Amino acid sequence: MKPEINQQLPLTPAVFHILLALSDGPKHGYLIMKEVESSTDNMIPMGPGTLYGSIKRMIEAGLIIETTSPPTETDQRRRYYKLNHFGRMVLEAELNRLQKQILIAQKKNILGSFNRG
Amino acid sequence: MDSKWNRLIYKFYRGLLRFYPQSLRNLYGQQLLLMFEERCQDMDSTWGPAWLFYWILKDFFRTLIHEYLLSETAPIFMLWTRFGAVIFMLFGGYSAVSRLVKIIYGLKRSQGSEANLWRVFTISTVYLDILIYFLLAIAILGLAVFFIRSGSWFTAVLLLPVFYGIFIHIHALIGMSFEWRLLPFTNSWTFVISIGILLTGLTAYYKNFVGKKIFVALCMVGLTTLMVDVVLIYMIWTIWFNVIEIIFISTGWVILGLNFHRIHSSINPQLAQGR
Repeated sequence: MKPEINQQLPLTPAVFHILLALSDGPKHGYLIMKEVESSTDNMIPMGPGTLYGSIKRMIEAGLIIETTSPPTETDQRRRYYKLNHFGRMVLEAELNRLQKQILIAQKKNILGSFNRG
Repeated sequence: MDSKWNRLIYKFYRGLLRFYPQSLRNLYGQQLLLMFEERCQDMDSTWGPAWLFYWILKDFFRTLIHEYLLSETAPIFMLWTRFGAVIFMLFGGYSAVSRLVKIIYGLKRSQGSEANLWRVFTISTVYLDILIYFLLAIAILGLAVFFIRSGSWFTAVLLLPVFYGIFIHIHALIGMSFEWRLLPFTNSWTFVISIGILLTGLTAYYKNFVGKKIFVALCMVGLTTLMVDVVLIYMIWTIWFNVIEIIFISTGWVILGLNFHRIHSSINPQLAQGR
């Protein structure tokens, strides 16, 4: 793992879910918020300030970039964001990190005992 | 949601946006408003105006905390790390030493001619205290003006409790110059110093500006000030006035100590995103 990727980890929940939302294509702010809300059952609160604060920091960190609106977009005020190569690598590294932790939990039979309730 | 509520909440949010950090407003002001509009249009009947008010207020405070306290370029962070450490180390040290000296002399204050010496010493240090706190008030006023001119009203407002502490203390000191036995009433300043040291240590350590040793040193200065204060309370008779303050500060230190690793691990990743 490259050191600059390592420096970004672990990701905060907000950054992780924004990257995840952008992983399948460019989105504007409100769409990102809606996707994070639905994918986390509203567990990650994401108001306008929280979202754009995170977007600002993520652009500064080189994780995402602003991109042009798709031709189908009717509201020209909307700005779209997409993952760049570095952002995708960081997301993959974070998912690998989480996967390792899940494997450890499975080995310790934590998930099994949790599911049995 | 009917249109009347819609208009009212929209106006409220537009007003609230003026208090968002300027850097965020400059870059994304229109996007913030647009996102709010879309949320209003997307509201279903189960989420009423009260929920919307709650949602935007919660977001407002979360944003302020993130942008001002946790962000690398936040002015409040710059204040505490660049100036706060120096100011509070000096005043913490001064406070601890002067109080210690006062106690040593205080032990002899009832012994004949020593009593007069004690009185002269106490009153002379009071005038020095007044001068120093007055200079500190001017310095903080200068910082407040700097923040206001930079558009950081919120940071300037944060300085108000410090002003309050300074002027309460000056007021108490002026009273003390007439009656030296009022000395314990100036302990409120210890609270400001402890909080200052705490914030300085936390911000500096979390941003990797200083190592763990410096952080521990900052904590020790705060604790020394506190311990000297406790000794002072038991030597002079106005105990109850200070008990609540001592419990409050001690609880803060204990909570910080117990949660140190948890706080560190939860804040550091967020700070890392600011890089």
